[in-house]
Amino acid sequence: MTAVASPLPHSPRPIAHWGVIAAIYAVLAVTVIYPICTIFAESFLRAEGGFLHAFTEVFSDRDVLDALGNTVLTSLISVLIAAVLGVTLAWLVARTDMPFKRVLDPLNMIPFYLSSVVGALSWQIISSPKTGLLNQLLVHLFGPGAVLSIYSVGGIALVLGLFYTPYVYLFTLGSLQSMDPSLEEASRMSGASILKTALRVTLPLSAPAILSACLLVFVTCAGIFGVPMVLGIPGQVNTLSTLIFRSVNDYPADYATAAILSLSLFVFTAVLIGLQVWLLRGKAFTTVTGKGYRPAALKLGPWRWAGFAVNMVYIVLIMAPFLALLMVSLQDAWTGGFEWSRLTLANYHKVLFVEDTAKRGLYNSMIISTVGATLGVAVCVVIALVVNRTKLPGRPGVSVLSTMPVAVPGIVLGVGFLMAFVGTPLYGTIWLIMLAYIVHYLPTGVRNIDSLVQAVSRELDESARMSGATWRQAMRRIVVPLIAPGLISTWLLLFVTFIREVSASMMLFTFGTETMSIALIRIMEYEPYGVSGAFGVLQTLLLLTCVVLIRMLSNFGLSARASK
Amino acid sequence: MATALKEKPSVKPVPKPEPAPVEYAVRLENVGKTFGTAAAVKDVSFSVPVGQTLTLLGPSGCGKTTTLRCIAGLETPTAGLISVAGRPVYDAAAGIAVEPEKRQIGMVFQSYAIWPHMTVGGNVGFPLEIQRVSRAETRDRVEKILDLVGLGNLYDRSASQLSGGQQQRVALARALVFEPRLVLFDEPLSNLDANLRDRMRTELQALQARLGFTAIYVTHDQQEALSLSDTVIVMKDGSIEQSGAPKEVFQNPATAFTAKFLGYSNIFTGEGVLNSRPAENGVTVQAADGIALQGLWRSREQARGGVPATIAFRADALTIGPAGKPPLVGGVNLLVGTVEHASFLGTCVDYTVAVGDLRIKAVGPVDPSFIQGDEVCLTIRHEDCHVFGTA
Repeated sequence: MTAVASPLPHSPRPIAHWGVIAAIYAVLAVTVIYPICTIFAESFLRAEGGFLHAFTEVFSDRDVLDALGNTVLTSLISVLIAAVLGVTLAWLVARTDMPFKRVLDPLNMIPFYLSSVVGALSWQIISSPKTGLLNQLLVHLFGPGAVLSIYSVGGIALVLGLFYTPYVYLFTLGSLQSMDPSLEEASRMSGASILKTALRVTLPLSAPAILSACLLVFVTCAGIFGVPMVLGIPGQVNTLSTLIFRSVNDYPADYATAAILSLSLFVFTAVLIGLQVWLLRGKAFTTVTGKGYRPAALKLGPWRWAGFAVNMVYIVLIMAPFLALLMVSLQDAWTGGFEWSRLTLANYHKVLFVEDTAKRGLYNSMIISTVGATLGVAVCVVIALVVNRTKLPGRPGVSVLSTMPVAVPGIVLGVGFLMAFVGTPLYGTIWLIMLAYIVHYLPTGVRNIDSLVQAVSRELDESARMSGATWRQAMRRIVVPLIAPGLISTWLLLFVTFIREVSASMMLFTFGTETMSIALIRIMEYEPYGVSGAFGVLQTLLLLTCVVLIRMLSNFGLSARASK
Repeated sequence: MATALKEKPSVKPVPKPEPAPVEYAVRLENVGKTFGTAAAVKDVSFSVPVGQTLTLLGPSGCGKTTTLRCIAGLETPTAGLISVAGRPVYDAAAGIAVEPEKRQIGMVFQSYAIWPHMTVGGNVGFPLEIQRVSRAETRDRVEKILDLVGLGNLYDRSASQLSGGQQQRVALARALVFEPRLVLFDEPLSNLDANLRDRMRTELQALQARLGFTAIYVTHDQQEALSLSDTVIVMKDGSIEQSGAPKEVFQNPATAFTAKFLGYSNIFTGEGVLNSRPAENGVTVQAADGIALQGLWRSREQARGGVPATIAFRADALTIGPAGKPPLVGGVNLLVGTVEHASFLGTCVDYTVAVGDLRIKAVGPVDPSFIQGDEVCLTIRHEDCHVFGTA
């Protein structure tokens, strides 16, 4: 056998290769650094009378101060709602014998994938003063005058809180499931009751995860644009994000103010995200350990039905508005109640085949999301593989740069992209919007794919190298096929996120490049509820289809792992 | 045999200019590897003659796996020179670092690293596929090597349905299928149960004899190291502690660390006195109050008296007998003590014997055996007691 061995190919190569890493840095510099720097530049250079002067000017404006107050208030109330609901539901699902928890668990996660703008539209429909189902019910129960006004700080916060509950839920659930159950058992053996154990042992141990989720929800709500736009503008309630939008879009456009507000929102977000990362330092809550132990569920006795009721309340609060939206969309005119004689598909026909804005929005979003998710996954795979599977210099910098957009609210990124690319041929095309999406969700993609790559043992690709495969062959033949199901999930997640995106699109769309969410907001302005409702239902169905696919994939992935 | 050869003169090759014969399959010169500021491998040099087997032995963290990975090219050293088959694959001075796939080295990983998304045939055929060997030839060679490792019937089996032993064999087949002249083994047997481990060890030796490749093993299992290799290198903290033939290293450990690692379970420290008995390098070590043990100085540096020294001896080098009847032989240390603990191990009995303040581990036959509280007499030959300088 030794006799036929071919001679050792002699190909000494210089130890460092800078090409790949330089290319990655160049791309990240143009797409991540440049837009953010543009905001800084606009704030400091364009400001009349110097930055400090302009800054003081902007923040002594009555409207700005009101918006600031509203932003903080809506975010605080949202966090409160999300924290109470998220922690309670996570504890019920992870630690108790609540009935049907296997069904309730995925249901609790649904808002994570849906559009909060459609949510806001639904709430608008059920709480409209005369024909809204919720307000009819409230009047019926509590008499005339008991009307919920959704066009308020409270209304905005309610919708946001319900939609961001899954964030707290997910973080807490992860923390609870990775917690050693013997910690709780020890508390029970020491004589503490279920409730006492939950409050004294379980919660404190999950505190970093919960706090970190709350911070994330807080900054996300502070930077969010869609819901305050839909619910705030009719009620003259501004937040910082709607104010940024208006300073660019009102006549005359005030780019300096927009830049200063964006900069402030960015710095605020960055500081809190930094705090959140610090809280979670060194903890990976999604680690799948080989141990298949499932901690024994706490026996709640008859109280388990109370737990079930609490969880159902959340699911009803999420589902009911969407059902109302569905009902409205199937009626040729809404009179405050469903009538079979008014049943029609005309609204769907209209948004699919007649209404130009809706048609364009659907078409553009499908293109942007399909191409964008594909490109996004490709970029994230390259970054994750370079960071995890090479020894190239400068890898930590790639990690940092690719997670930076997490600290930039969509509206701020939109402003940055607008200011950075307005003079280029990219402006006014769907490709600029797509680029903004990819940059904004780069951290999500990289984080997902990073953990997929890390789960593949290094020896699997090292053995390919020893079998004669080049680095690229080893990645293409071994690592990528092994993480393929996870890549498809990540693709779907990006697709979902892109389909419903509002903030960056709002800053970047022009006539002809409206996305689905933009089209929805536009047709809400001039079409009856039935038509916008139909469009909202279509978007929701599209998103739900993706959710089902993601669930199927993750179940498939888990069962494949279990069979190993 | 000699006459048979003479009858076939045509076998003799036509003399032609050939490159200088490659003496060594692998040669390392002053190889170092640091991770940040931590040195994992320090100034390691050794070479392995073609067709021989070398084992890197040591506790976890001693640098043996890093050294192996430097040879493979999976780690890039920070200093030194590595050549494979006479050609440099890493040279810090010349800035050479050949990619692992260009080194033509087979490797069996500790986890076996079988690709779960391929069949057995796909796994083993992968190296040939990369080399663009034709489909038919690949199939042929894969089937041959699978037969050789005893998996002839598993070609189309999915790799995720293999037992640990089968995975081991697939990994071995994959490392050998492209006929590398050097094969690296990273703890190849550590994930197998004891029975399977013995069988695989024998099979590995047979395979190597048949195929003639040079092998480097990394292991922390001394039995594996001693039984498989022509040369053993004991590593400690990134440096070579001792190297030599297995028997030589086992019988003459050069340091207390090597002795301890090779299962010298009795290690005591005390003042050493040179006394030239029974040989020139004889030393007496005051192991405890009133207990002096006579042994031979084994450290590389010159023997010195009046300093702390460590004396080490194996439990199975002791002879255990009843206290009343000391054996009438010379040249031994004689110790009288009480059995503190005895555990029956089937073929022998493990004892802990209290001799003054010392607790001595001994192994004795099943018959006659002693129980707790028995007074016993332990003897050990002077030359079985190894004395090292205590740094």
